[in-house]
Amino acid sequence: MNKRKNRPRRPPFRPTPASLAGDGVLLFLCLYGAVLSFVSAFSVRTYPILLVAGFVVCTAVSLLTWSLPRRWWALPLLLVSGLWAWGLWKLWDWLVLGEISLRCAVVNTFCASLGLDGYIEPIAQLSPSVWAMGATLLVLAALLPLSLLLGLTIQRFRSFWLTFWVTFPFPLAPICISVTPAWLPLCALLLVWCTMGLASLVGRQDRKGAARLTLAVLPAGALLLAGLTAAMPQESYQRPQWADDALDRFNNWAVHLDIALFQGNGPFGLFGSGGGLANADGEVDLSHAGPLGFSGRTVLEVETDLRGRIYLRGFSSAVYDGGSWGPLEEEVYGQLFAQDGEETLPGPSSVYYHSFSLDGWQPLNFPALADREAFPDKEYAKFTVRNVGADPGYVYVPYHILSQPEELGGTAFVNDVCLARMEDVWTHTVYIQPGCDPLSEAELPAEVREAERGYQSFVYANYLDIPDESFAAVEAAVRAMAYQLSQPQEEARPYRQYTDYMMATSLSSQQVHRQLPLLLAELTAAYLEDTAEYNPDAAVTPEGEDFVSYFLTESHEGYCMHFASAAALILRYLGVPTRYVTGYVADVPDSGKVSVPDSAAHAWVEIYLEGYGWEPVEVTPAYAGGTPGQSATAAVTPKPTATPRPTATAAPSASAAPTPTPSQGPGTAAEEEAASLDLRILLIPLLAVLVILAFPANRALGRARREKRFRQENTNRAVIAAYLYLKKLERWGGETPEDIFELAKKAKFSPHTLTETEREAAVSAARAAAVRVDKALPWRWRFWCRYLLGLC
Amino acid sequence: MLHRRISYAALLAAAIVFQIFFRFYLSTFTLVLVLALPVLSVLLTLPALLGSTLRLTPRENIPRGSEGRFTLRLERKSALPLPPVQVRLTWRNQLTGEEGRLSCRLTPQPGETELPLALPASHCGRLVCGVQAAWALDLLGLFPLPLPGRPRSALLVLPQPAQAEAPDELEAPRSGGVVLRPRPGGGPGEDYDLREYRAGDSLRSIHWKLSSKKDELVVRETLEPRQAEVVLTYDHFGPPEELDQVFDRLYALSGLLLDKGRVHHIQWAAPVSGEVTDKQVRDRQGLLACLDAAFSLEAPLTGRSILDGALKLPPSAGQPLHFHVTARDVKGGRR
Repeated sequence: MNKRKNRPRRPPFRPTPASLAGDGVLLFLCLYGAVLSFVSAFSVRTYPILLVAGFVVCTAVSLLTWSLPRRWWALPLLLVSGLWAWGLWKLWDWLVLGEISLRCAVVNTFCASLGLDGYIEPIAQLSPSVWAMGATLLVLAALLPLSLLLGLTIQRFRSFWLTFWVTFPFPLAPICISVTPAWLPLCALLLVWCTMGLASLVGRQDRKGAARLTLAVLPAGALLLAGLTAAMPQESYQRPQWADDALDRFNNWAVHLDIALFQGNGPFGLFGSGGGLANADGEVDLSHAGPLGFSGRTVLEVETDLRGRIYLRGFSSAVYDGGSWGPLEEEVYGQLFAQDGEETLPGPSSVYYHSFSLDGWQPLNFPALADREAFPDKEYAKFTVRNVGADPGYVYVPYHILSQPEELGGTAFVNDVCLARMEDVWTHTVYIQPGCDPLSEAELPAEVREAERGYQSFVYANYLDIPDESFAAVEAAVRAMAYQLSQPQEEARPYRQYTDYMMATSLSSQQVHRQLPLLLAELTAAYLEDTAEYNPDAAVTPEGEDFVSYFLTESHEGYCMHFASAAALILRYLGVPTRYVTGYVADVPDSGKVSVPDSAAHAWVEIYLEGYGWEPVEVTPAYAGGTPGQSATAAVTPKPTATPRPTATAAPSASAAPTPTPSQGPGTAAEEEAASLDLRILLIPLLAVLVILAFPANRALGRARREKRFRQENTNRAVIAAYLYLKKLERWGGETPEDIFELAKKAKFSPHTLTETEREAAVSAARAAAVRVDKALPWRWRFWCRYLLGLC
Repeated sequence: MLHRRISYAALLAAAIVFQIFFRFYLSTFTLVLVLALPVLSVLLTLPALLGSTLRLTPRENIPRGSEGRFTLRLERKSALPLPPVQVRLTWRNQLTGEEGRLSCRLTPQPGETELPLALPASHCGRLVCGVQAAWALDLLGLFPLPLPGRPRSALLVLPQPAQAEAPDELEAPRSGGVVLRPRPGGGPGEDYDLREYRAGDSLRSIHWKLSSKKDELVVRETLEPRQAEVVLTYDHFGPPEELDQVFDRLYALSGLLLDKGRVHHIQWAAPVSGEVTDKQVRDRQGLLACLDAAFSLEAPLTGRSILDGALKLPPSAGQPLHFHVTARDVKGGRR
């Protein structure tokens, strides 16, 4: 009551021609922009002329209604409501049709934008014009209350924020699913917001002036919007680089935070993790492999002595089941990768296929060891990679790693599949034997040969499987390859090479074991290039279809996942042990530093060469000519220590986003340090500090509010505030002086304005009482009173 | 307008976030629009701003101890509304050196907008008030835009009106209040004076008898009784409280003299150079002009007294009646 009494009386609302014109234009634009933004974004079929006529009528009705004095509102509102209800009753069937049409349009737009399979169509077989009329009538029915509401906010309240929040959801809904509404309605809405925002400051002090200003701002704003539209043509729109970089950094930060805090299961996992080719669990889901989409964000930061194109291997998959690639069962490895003295206890259904051990040798080292044996003077190449947004489970490294299991820090070999990243370590350094060539005279050192032979038998036992569903298609493909070989006019290089190889009279062991599989791989790649087309927008394989069979027999189009999967099975059919590999392809410039974007994600195959190890093979036409194992060359670098050791950097625990810093030297106990820090620990002291700070903050806030009330312009209200404060203190032992009570009564009920002296007396009494209460209370109640209630 | 700036900053931040996360044209367009909006706002504010004039007028001279009242007036010619105007003013008592500043806010109304200002005036002096800075925010409330003109005006803080008693010498019939001075045009008279002949003197005025005795021309100049010049002096230095009392007395005495129809002089010495300022007071307006001149000169705590030098009077004025006004009394008479 007091507030109302002291508030300056607002002059009565009397619309002028200028204000009516300005408000009318604003209201019309508001309705036009809001409704048509929504309708156009969701592709709702309507009759635009009817809608525009509806906008005009509703604008007029709203303007007339709210221009009347308040006591006359009831009559037109009742009349309009009655007409509206009567219209609803009469047109109910049409409105139901309109709702169905609108629902279908909205759902289908959502599905199209989000790539969901949920398209719906109305069951009733009616002509499009009927659906359009139903939707139009529905929109018109909703238009009337909307126009009245907007008329109230624009004409009577002159509130920018109310108008904004009423109209903002209309374009926001489609924008949330990356759908931009039609440009003209959107500009109309922007014009309304700009105009009301610019007129809001002077709107209440000078209504007539504000009306004139609205009429001045409308054309100026329209000119600005038109100018911007003309200056920034949509056709030549190019997204700013800084925005891409910012999104990139944000995604990386979110992924790291997600991993650090929630092990990748948190809300930030929404942002994806590596271009959609791989999951952190080692599985590659092929059934949802639809059109490729990448953000362009950086996933790996590489610094290396290597130059040129390098294939960064993430992990390999051995088992194909028609819809995905996955790793071998853990039990299959048995004792193969067990360290000395380590025994793996059998599970309930485990069967050990391989009871022997590789004696600590790692198959991923075999090619580098063989090349090192043949070329001991070759320079090492250092390779440092920082994972900033790729699948966090793997360390992406080039082929031919010299670093052996016991020399790795911050990472470890996982069977023959991959290098796994250790917790909190994001930067890894390994040493590479560059320029390895399986067709050179390179042979494994004698001490490794025994292990390789054992692994070879493992490979032949596990990397030749083809599921029954794919067998027929693969067999047909191989037959087609054989047929092409038999064609005399076939002059393509792989075919000619293979023919030459087969015509050779004498073959060395190396030619049989190394050259033949490579030739077969080239042959397969050539066959796939001839029969299938590279298409990054290839559709998802229909449900129930075998991924490879559908690719080889039906679609004949796809990208690296399709080509690599098909090639792997074809090569297996031809007796070459093959596996599917996921990783990235990076082109290292002369600087030796490169940021690998998520669009560099790739898949290829590895074939096993007896006595040498796994050799990567490129089978995707878009990457044709690539030799994953050999293309990069080493730059001249200082020679490392006699025994190159990998280094790892630990993420500092003080940061939410792990930003590894170069730290330890080679060969130290990196693993212990790396695993010792957990970012979640930071949350505890952070929370504790926040809680501790909250108490004084609450007290300071209470004091500030109190002082503001005491120092307000109206002395009567200040004295009442002081009195109320004293009454609150009474519960804690405070006393309200009689004269302050009298002053409060005078402030409340007397028409006189209290003097500054009286205000000072009341405020001083309140402060003195607070001090007395604070001193008198025992410590726990004092704490409660001070910091929780903010009273003292 | 902090909340408007915060709102715009939030809008800009939202536009940047929108640009980062929304990959299409609309996000860049929105960001550019948000950046261009303040420019449009400033451009639309300029017509109203340039068509506005700020004026500052004093009400009237006031006695010491009351409030000095000025009126700040905003005159607008443009039809477009102007956002609230913030004005920073400074004031200074030129005599005592007291100064201060105040800020006020004008909410422009159609036509003229007035804002009364009240300044403290506890001591005598010339109270000068001026607009130091005046600015209106743009329509978005983001940028302060300066208003043209820096008006400045002053009023006098006059001494307290008090009763004054006329010095005895003023009341004395011939001894003090009257002096003999040559009558213009000569003519017969009881009192005369002798002097050397000057070119232009009438032959009739030559005292032939005495001339023959002295062997040089001696002229007899007829004298007539006239009122003596009254000179009021004071020392233009000292604490403000003492100066207030000095001016109270001076003002009262001067007023009394004017009431009696006595034209008089008020003189004071510059506290630093000692240069004497002489103001002839013929009426009340003359008194105010004299006080205006006196109050415009700053009075330090110490300085040179007018008693240390000579009064500034024309030679023909004769011996004046000189009264020196101090905080405690009025001294003097015929010098």
